[in-house]
Order: sequence, then C-alpha cells, then structure tokens
Amino acid sequence: MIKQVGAFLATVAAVAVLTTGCYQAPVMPPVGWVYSEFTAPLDYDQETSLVGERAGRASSMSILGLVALGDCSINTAARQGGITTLHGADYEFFNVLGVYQKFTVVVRGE
Amino acid sequence: MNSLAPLRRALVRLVAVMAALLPTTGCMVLRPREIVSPLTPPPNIIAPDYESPVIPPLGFIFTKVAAPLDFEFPSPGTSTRQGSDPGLKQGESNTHFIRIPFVRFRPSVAWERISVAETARAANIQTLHYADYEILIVLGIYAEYRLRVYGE
Repeated sequence: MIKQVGAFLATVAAVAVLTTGCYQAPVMPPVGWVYSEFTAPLDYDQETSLVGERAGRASSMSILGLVALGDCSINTAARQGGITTLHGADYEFFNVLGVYQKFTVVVRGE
Repeated sequence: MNSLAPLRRALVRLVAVMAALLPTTGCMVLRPREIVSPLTPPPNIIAPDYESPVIPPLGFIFTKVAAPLDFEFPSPGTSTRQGSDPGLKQGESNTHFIRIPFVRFRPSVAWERISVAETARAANIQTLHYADYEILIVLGIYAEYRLRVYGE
C-alpha cells in the first residue's frame, strides 16, 4: 500500500516537474522551474503600448499539471477592467515547482 | 539476483538525473496531440500539436481554459479595437476531436469548421475587433476548440 502511494506521488511529481513552463506566448522569458513570477509583453508593438491607462485582468491556472481551469481571454480581461477601447496587452506568469501555475492576461485601454 | 542490484541502482540514478535535466531543456509538452486549431492544418496520424499564439498552462487530465487568439492592437488614433462594449457582437464556432485510446496507432477523428470569416458572417459581424478561443480537453481523448470573434 505504501509502495503504491509512493509510486502515485512520484508520478504526480514527475508530471508536475515535466509540465513546468508549459505555456506558449509570443514573448517568453526564461522560466524557472522552481519559482517564476514575471510579466512579459503579449502585444509587443511599441506604438500601442501606452502607460497609465486602465487595465483589466483575467487568469487561468493549472494545478500539478493535471487540471487546468480559468478564462484569461481578452474579452474577460476587458470586461473586468471596464475597457471599451483596447490598446495593448501583457501577460503575467506565476509558477511554483509546476505544482501551481497561473497565467494572467492584462489588457490596457480606455 | 544480487549481482543485478548495482546495475539496477545505476539505472535508477541515470533515470533520476535524466528526469532532473528534462525541465532545463524547456517546455516538456505533456498535452494531447492532434488537436485542430485555426493555425494548423487538419491532423493526420503523426499530427502536430494543438497550436495557438497564446497557450496557458494546460492540465494532463482536464483542461478548460480561454485565452486570447488575437492580441495585436492597432495604434491609437489610426483605428480602434472595442473591448467590452455592450454593443459588441459575438460569434462562436467550434471543432471537436475524439481519439480512441488503447488501440494501436490511436486513431482519431476531428470535425467542424472554425473559420473566422464564416463565424463572423454567421453572427452578422461586419467589422472584426478581436478573437479569443477556449479549449476543452478531457484526458486527451476528447477535445473541443471553440473560437470566439467579437465585432460590430
């Protein structure tokens, strides 16, 4: 029984480690598999990246690389920030050992 | 039997070292393959991964996430992209994917169309502003890719 639980935990840990950093975006800085917390551009056209505007956020998360849930769409982020005219977008990535990963889309506009 | 013990220990160590090195090679893709998206051709037996410009972290057992499909916004003053305007129209279309597990070559089928133009036309959208998508994956056996376009 103990062996089976150990094998299960080892499998879960292996999946968590192997799925670390498993996301895709146009700009991807190096991802730390022990801990990561950074923001990067989603829309990297500098002309549209204005500072000091309203921002809206929407997130999705993945637990142990096994279950992923959430809505980090542009529409949800814009609604959250009350933005009616979009100018640009960034994303935030947060990871702890692949056990918990959070992907947040931040849209800017008016 | 005991003579094999050192060999077994060495093998376990080798596997452990390889497992420790794998994450440093970048993203180990443990997501289901052969999923249709608007950016990839239809799947075949050796199919491409599900592709999209933005893919949040996925789950091996269950995934239901929405993410941006179009995230390049025009310069202010040249034109505008509406965000959450209540008057914004929304169009949706989706594809389905089913894989038969535990069978040699893991046969799979995918159907339906998710053309941006057709989706917009069906929703009576004349001017497109942006697009999102939602992906649902259950154990890599069933997947659904839903396209959402917004415009007026």
